[in-house]
Amino acid sequence: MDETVLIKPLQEGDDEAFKQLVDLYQDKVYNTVLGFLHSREDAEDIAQEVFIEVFNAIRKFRGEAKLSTWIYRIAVNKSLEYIRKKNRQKRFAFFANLFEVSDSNKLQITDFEHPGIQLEHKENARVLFAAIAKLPENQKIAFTLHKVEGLSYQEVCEVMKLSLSSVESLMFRAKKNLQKKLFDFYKSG
Amino acid sequence: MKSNQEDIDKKIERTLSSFDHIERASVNPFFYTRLKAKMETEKRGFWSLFTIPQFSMAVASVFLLLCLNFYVVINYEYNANSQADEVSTFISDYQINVGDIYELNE
Repeated sequence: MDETVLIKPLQEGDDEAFKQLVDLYQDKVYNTVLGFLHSREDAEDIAQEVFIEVFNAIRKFRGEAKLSTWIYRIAVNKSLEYIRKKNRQKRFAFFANLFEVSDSNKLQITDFEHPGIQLEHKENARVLFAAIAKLPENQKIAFTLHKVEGLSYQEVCEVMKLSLSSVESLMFRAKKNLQKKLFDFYKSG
Repeated sequence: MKSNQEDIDKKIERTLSSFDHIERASVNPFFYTRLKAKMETEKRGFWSLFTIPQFSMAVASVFLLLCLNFYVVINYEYNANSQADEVSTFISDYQINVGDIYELNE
């Protein structure tokens, strides 16, 4: 379906067009958000927030980027906002446990299992998700959009508003960082 | 030592390639219905947190509290006046409002 057809009715507040947009993008948004948040419940909440933002802001959409790019951008921003908010709460909790020694560089393996990962890779994927969570923000965005959501480098460039060489560089550094973090993890474990 | 290094390298390689055949995750069924419900709740805003009976109860409680306050203030003033009368009667009955004890003998 051509997404440009949807823009005008969406800007006029057409509910049917909004339903079509949600049908078209719900899995893409959910999968992207899940790639960042590693929690199905949080991902559903934030995916809803993304569509509410799309609904409220569609009148300001001028078509400078593709609709899909714009939606991915909102999804990434909402996910990062949520992560920052959670980290602030963790920092506050740090004061409560001031004397508790914790290593912030250590990978924190969670119970999260991405539903799209094949069974034999689930254990390794959990470790990889924990390592991705420790990457710098830009590397995390590029790696998640490319590897988890399956966007091409060109699409990642458009979402991140970066040049192709910048995205390639981000991906290279992300892989190097992941290798180092995984080496430390497997060496100590 | 070398085999240990090779073992770790293999694990890293396997871990990094664990996303190679990843499939897109799908939302739970009825996502759109839940989304619309959330949008409706947000549209109604702050006042949607209260139902009409809750709001009526809150107004009635505030009114009752104000009435009780008013009653207590009025009643306190009345009691204070009547107490003052009783004290002045007591003073005059027992003649204890005298400035000097020798005044009584005059």
